[in-house]
Amino acid sequence: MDLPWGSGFVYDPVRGDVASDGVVAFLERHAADFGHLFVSWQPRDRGVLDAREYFPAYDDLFGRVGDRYPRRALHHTALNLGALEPYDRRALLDLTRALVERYDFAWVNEDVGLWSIRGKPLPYPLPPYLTRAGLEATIRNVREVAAALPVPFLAEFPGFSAGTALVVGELHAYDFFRVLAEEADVPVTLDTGHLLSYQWMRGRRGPALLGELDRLPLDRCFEIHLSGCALKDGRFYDLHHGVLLGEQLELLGRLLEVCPNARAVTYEDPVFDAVGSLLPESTSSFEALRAWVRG
Amino acid sequence: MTLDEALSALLYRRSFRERFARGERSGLSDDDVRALSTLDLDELDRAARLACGALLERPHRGVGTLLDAFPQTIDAWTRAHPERPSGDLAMELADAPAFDAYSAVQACNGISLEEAFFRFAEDRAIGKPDVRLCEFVTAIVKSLVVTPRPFFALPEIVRVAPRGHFAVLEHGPTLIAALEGRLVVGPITRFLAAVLSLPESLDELAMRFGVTRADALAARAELRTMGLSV
Repeated sequence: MDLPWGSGFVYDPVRGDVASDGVVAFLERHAADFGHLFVSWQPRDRGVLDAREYFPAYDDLFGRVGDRYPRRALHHTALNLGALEPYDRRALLDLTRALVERYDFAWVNEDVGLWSIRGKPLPYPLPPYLTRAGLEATIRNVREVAAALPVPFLAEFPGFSAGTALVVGELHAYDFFRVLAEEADVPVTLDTGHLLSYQWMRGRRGPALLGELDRLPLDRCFEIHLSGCALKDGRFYDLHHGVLLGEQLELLGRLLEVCPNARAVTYEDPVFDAVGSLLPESTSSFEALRAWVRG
Repeated sequence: MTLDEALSALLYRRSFRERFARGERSGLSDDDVRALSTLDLDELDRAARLACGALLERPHRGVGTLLDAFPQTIDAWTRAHPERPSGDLAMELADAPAFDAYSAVQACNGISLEEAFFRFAEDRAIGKPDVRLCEFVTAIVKSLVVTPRPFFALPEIVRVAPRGHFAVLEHGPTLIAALEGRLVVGPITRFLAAVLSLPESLDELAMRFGVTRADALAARAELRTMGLSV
């Protein structure tokens, strides 16, 4: 679940940082539908990183949902695992450890890619450098993060959404990702939209869009992600708007067949209103996903 | 130039991107030239527009966006260039030397986006000097109201006080301060501005400004009470 500051987490003049009522209402309403709660960490502000600054909002969130979601995980957004440049993760890892211990997150993940470059922000994470040097750097970075956390770190296959699909290097992204997982010895997250966006960018259509799965580290896949995607003007967009493509559900089915260790299916971006009701445009996706998982 | 530097420049520096599109590869190693040969230049243009466009619209807690923080300065640019979209301003900012020093993450030391924009506007003489300085300092101090320990480097004009931060603008003079979660803005006397800004002793300043010692001591006591001086 995306929890941007200002909408997912909000500032209340009396209570301080709290979860929005819509988030809590949605989680209460759908507690029976989900086996785990997966929250996305985003920087609260431009302050020196300090986990205590985040505790009020997360305390409020988990306090209000109570024991409805005993299994929780954390999506990171700043580890910048594809960076070639020196990137000081110490403060981030300290903060992450503190959050993991306080909220009992069972795993942490992040898309393998560039979330910033030379300190400059990016509107959408870029894929890692698909070069030998890029692979070696990413392996080092993932090892560093995995070694620093008290729970498993899951490397997530990156997105190649139209408008930000900058491919630098000639390695096949599936091969890159498989070698990364093996060399860093980590479990992985496979995001259906990210996989489809890569094959779409390479011109694959029809059955070929779901092809080459055997190049992925299937036996290391613990988690599968689904987030809203769209095809527009012949281009593939990872929009995080909650509306799933049929191809994503088809790929989910395929992955569940070939990933023997997959244990979690995560719907990343349910879109709901201020009282926690799913918006009509994402209701059918939610229902379809629920049927797939239960089916 | 490293591959990180090259990709950053391709995304943010229009002049570099245009040279790259014309085939210039100076400063890049053969390996990096080979790696970058897979870039789709149309996609690069789209990504660059997204990345640069977001600079004006990226909100910061307590401050808002650059559009919120520098309304008059940006309005001056718009009036001077009525035919150009705001995206051009963002592209110019991203291509400016001042932008190099900006960092949005703690992992990389740097200045705030507001300071990068201010330096850029100074270099280009956009708007009125007093106005852009006031907009800049106000933005930084507002940020300090809600984020008293920022990871970005503070500009020299913003100083640390016992209970927060403050800046004194010559125009007025005007005090702009972040004191224990409150924004304090208002005109002050030249004597108070000097007490807050200059290293001279209180007696020297009192003499220079024709203030009695008793009044000077009372003023300093009030500044201490406010948490502005020691």
